Amino acid sequence: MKETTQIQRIVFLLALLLLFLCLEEASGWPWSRNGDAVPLSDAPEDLHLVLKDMEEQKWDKAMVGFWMFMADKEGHEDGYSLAQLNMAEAANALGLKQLATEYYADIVRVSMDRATTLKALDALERITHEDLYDERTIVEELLYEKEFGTLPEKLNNFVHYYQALMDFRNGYPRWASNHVEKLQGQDEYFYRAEILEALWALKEDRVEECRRLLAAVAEEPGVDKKVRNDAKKALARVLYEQGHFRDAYRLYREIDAPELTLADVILEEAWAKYRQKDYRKAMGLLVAFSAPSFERLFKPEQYLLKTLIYMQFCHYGAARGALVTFQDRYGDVLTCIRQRGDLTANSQARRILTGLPPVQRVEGYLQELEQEEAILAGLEGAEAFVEAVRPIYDLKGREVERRRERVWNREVERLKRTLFDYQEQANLLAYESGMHQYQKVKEMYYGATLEGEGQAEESIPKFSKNTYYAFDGEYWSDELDDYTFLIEDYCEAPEKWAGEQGVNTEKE
Amino acid sequence: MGRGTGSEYREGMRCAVGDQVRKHWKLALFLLLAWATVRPAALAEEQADQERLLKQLTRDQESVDRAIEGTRDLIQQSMHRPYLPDLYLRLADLYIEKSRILYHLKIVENPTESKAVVVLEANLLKTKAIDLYKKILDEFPEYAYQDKVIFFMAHEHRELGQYDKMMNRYTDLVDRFPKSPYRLETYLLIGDYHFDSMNLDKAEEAYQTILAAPESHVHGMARYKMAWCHINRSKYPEAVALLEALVADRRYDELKTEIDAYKRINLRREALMDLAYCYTEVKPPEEALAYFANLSDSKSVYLAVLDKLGHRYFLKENWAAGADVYRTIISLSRNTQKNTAYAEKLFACAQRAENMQHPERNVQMLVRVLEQAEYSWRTDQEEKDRLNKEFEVYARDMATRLHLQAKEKQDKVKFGQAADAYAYYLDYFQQGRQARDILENQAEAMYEGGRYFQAALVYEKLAAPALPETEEEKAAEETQEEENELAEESVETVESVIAEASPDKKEEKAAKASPEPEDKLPVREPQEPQKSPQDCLYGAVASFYKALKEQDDLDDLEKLEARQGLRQAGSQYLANYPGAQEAPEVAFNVAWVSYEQGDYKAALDGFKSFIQEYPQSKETSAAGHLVLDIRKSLDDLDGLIKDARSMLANEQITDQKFRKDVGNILVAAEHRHLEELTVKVKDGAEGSDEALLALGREAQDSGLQELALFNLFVVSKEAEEIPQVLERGKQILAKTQDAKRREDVLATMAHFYFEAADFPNAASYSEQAAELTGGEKQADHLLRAAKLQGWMGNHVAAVKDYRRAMPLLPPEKRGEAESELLAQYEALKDAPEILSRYRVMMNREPEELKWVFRYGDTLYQQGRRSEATEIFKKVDELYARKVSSAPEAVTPEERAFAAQARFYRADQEMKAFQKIAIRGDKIENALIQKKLKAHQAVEAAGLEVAQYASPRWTIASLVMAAKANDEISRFFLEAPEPKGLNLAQKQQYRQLVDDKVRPYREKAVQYRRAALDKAHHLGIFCPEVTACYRALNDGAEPPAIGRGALRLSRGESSPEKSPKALVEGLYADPGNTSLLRSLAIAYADQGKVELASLVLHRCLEENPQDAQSQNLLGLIRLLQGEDQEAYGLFQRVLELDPGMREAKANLVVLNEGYGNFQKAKESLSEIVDKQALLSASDSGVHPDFKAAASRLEVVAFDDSEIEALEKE
Repeated sequence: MKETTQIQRIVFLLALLLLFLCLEEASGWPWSRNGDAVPLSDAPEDLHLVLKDMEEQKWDKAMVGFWMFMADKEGHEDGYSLAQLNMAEAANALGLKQLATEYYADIVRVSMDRATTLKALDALERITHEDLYDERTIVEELLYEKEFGTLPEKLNNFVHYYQALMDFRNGYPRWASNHVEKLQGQDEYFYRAEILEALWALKEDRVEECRRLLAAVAEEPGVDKKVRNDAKKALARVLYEQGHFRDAYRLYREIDAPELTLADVILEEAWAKYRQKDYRKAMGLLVAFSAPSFERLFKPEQYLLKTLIYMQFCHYGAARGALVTFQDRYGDVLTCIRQRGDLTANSQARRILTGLPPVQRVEGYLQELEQEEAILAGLEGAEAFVEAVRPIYDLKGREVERRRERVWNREVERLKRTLFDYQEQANLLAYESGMHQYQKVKEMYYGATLEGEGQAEESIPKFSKNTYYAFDGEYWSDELDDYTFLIEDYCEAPEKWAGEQGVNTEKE
Repeated sequence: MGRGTGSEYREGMRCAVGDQVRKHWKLALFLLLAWATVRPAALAEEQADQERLLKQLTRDQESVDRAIEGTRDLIQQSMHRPYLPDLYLRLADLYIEKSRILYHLKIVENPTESKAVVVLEANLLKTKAIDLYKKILDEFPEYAYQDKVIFFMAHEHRELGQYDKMMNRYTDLVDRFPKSPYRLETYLLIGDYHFDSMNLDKAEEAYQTILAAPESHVHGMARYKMAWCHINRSKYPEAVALLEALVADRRYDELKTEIDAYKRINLRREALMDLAYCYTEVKPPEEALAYFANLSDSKSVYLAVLDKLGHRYFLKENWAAGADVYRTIISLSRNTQKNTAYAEKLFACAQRAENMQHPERNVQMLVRVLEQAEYSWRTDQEEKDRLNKEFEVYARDMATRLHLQAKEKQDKVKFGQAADAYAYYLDYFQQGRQARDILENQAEAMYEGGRYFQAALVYEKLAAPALPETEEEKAAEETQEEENELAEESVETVESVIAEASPDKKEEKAAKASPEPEDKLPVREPQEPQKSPQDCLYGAVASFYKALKEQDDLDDLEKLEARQGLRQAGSQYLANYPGAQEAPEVAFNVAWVSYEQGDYKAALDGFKSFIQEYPQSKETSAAGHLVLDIRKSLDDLDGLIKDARSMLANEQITDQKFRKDVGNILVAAEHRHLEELTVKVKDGAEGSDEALLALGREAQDSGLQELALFNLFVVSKEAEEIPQVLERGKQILAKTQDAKRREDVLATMAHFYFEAADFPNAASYSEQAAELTGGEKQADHLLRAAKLQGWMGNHVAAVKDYRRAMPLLPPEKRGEAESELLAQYEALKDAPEILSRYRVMMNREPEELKWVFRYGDTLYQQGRRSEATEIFKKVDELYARKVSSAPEAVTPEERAFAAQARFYRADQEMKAFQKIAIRGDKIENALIQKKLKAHQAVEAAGLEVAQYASPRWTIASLVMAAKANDEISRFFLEAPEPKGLNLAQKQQYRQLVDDKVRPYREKAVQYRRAALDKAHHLGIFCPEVTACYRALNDGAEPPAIGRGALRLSRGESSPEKSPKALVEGLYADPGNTSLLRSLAIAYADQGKVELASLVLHRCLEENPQDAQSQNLLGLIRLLQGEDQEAYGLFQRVLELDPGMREAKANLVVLNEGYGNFQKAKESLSEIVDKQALLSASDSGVHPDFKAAASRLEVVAFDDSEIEALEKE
């Protein structure tokens, strides 16, 4: 009897539970829904046609249709979230990324519909993988501003990574680490966060920890290529700073960098080789900068490094020639700097400035906005819609123009300082070159013999008066960092020291 | 009820299932409320949310009604079932649930409806629930969950405000069910009741009961409540300790309390929020931000707690701390709406705060909020306009207030902060109407704050031509009035912010404490008139200058830019406002900065034109010095001297000290330039000597001319340019009275005269040099002169010089000088001096053969023969000793001395022998014997002389032996005949005497022949040779050799060949052998044979192998009668040049003159191309050669030549 009572009690409780579960389902709280697409039949009737347009990829019609639907609705009304999300997706498909971003962000910020929110967040996550995106809206104003509850793993990591990033940026590493701790699994964001932690460790002089973290990412085969490259590059720099030039070089070599960042890698490789005293290889790497793809490259440091290398081989004429090349290449800008001229009005300086990544990014962003505005302007029969969303573009355009002004001001200052500093160094090197030559003479004629030192290990090809390396006139980007510079050591041949001053070792 | 309790108290007991419903409901409500707080401005959305909630609540009511109905049905079907009390309990719960839904539904449906009516309806349902609880307790006393029912029932009593009943139930529960799981929770609620009644003792008692029990799910809340008890008793440290412990305990980090009476709260977070309240009472505000950052786990938590903290500081009127908090919030938050409110609070705090750490950042944050709003498409334009207007005033007020404070306190740091505040302002309001004023303020603040470089950049902007006024600006001007009104409104807004945040009188007080608007808003401050472009440009110049002079933190690029900026702005200023009062200062600075930049050319131009333009400016001195410094840096002494002279020539420069300084610099420069030019002259730089002389002529220092000449003289001396040395020497001597310099010059000139073989001048200048000095140096000059005078034959002058020099010489040099002086006396044949000096020498060096012999010789020459003989004996002794002790050390000269001494003694014997004569007419045998003995002695003495192996005295001794035999022959031949002899006897006697004498005669001839042969063989040329020749040739003389001043030069004499011209030639080419020879010949022609000899010696000194000079010297010796020396020289010539015709010709003459015809013929026969000897102009051949050659009949000359020779 007692057992029966017990069973009955359980059945009763189950019945009650069922009752309340039904009640909960019946209550239909928006965030309780799963992420599956809403069937057309579930959508308000007003949206059927628009959804059909959407299905048929008539993005412009769909976008305007959703907007019109929302125009006389409130956020809580049926179909509003659906329309909002679809409008953003249509805009994105149409190339109106800014508009889409704003709407996605709005959904994530205010929508009570969990599925919609997750979809919008997912869309934003995809957008952040593009070269240019509205970091301010997505990262600063949304991800870093909002408290998110439980999210699917990928989005959870997306959110916490950027929150960690922002915390690191703002100087709150403990909060950042709290976010990192919340990362799940080992996806791209996990490893990117590891890099962030490593860099912060480096900032706090915990170098070994930094190395350990970076090495873990660099050696992990499953890591996204770009992230692994970043880890390797960072680790290589740390190793370089610690004097482990061989290891640094090995890592640089492993980096499969895109051409955009290849120059940095090559230059750093060259420095590593220089510090290893493998001057020929270092110079071989610098040869890469003569490639047409690097024509607009702003790497004045290369000339100083070349000078240093030439000095090692007592090619004093060529050493001075490298400095002359530096002067030839940046002379106008340097004159402009010294005369306090307007660098933005100087054609040479403008060329450099417009090639700088921060400037390119902000200019690119403005261009994208213009293109999107052109798309907007091209929409037919959607004047009201265009009128309604134009402020988004107007304001964003003004904001980015303001940013562009700041970026330009900052980069102009940086360019001035960089070139000024390099010229100071070039002047010192010119002097050093003379001193080096003098000391070498002293060493040769009054000091111990240097016989046998600095013997060329490889046979030296015949070289012309102006060309020190064999060159077939064609560069392959995958070979750019594979040249070895076969230069004769002149340190035992003082009659050749003067060389040809002004000799340009690059292919002209 | 105390703070922090009411909102946390939950609404009642829940069973597990009912809680599910309520949880959703509460969450929805919570989110809705949260949403409402987040979006207060979004009224439309709020309305939408209300509708959505209403819909939801209606659904919920329907659901709960269905549940109630179902439960009732089940109760009816379950009478007497064991679970009936459970169903009653469930039904009671559903009533409670319905009561809540109903309450909220009514409120949402009609917010204006009386709450009393609403509550009445809701309470009816609660009463129903209580009845059901009572029913369970009454009808089911054995019900296992009575404690639970009591617990729930007590809760509903509390909900209905029936606190006595509630407490009775709770007390009943803890008394009756000491092991009930609800016991600790009940104590918590009992504590809460007492806490709400402000019965803190009882409340604490209840909480302590919990805390004394083993750790449970209510301990956290009990601690939290206990903390609040402490707060209410103002025991803040205790409260902080409890709250900090809670914050540190991650167990309370979830949205749960596990206490049914409490909502699902994050106790950690609540504790952290409440810490904000306590913190302000316990800990210093300056640590607050770090403290809460450390306790917070994320930005959102941090911002939440900062919100409370800021509010707390605001209430406590800690304005600085409040500003810090609000500023931090804004820096982290991107919530535009919230930030706007925070910004207003920040402004309110900033207005009242004193001694803020970074007040300028308040402006930064304000502007940041404004920018966020400006670019937000979610903020409507009207709001943006409002914010723009209000915040512009706020930002401007804060910045200018800082500026005023800085001015008041003359505080550089505050000036810097004001400058930064202006920068933040201008970053956003760069196009605003106030921008120019603010820019001016910024420039001033930067300048006063010591940021001169940055100030200069701002002044430059201000000085730039103004852009045409934009429509916007025009509109802004028109709305100035409106803005002024707005300023007042802004203050009102701020006041309202304060009022809103001040629930009690404290806040009112705070509001009253705020400064009056008149004092704080810049729009009401009297604005100074805007600075003119001229002022601004001058400001830029001055700021750049100050930056370079005083701003230590400039990096190299900034320094470069400052210098260039000063040049650019300064040049522009001078171009636009040349007559401005500041123009001199600007002009100076522009030049100065060119100097600083190392652009010396521009700097020189600038300074020089400055001096020209403003000769009486206070900077003229500095400009002048810098001009000279530049010249010095450029190592341009020429320019330095020129500029210095130019400055001194400018009479408008009246600064005497400056003039004196320049004068000193000029003198120093001229001296240095003189040294440099001297070096150039030495290096042979073209025009350098003229430049040096010019420098001397034009020098500020009058002594420089002499120095220039002297340096030139020295350079010429070092270069051995004799004409220049002599010329400049004479110029110096004509100018200078400086004895030392005159002495140097005279001595140098003497040296070069000597070098050029101008010996008379050499001697004369040495003597002049000696006049200007003393001591050993004077002696040196005199000795040089003396030697030259002696060599030139000026023995009197030489003696004079030697005698003057002698006392000045150190002892070790005196001997040599005395010897030389003696030689001069000998040349002068001053016997007394000679004798006395030799005596001295002999006494000083008694073992020296030379002195003993010379002394004896002198005595002998004076006729003091006996004394001489004694001395000669000493010579013999000395010689014998020397030969026996060190025969190899005996020199030919000593041998000759010894031979000569012996010869003199022999000569004495000869003279004694000659004196033995027959007196009367009687020949006595004894006399004969005496004569013969004397003859033998003389002959033996002669042979003894020959033993000394001195050829010259061997010849003489042979001749003496011959003479002795002549004498003995004469003695016998001239002896009186014996008396009484007849003619035959007489003839027989004569024959007998002749026979007796013959051997003596033959012996004499043999001696002479031997002497002659020996002389010819050895080349001895002395009077005894010609005497032999004469004796052997019946008195016939060999041809006489021409002596004296015979003309050596052939051809026409010309001025170029005069000694003067030749000497001048030698000045230019002092070692020229040809010239020297010509000079010697010229002197010889003038009878100055000693001078000629000296010249030839100079020539041979230059070129010892010069055969011609040797020959000429030999010829001169020949002409002087010093034949033996001449012979030696000719021999030497032939050693050097065996084929030399002139020497051979001279030997012809010499040998013939001594009867050595054989040798003469041999020499003559060796002469090649004899004709050439006649055609040479300076042949170096004795004039008698032609005649001798003719006599020797070896050479046939042309008739014409012979005639010519005869004519000569």
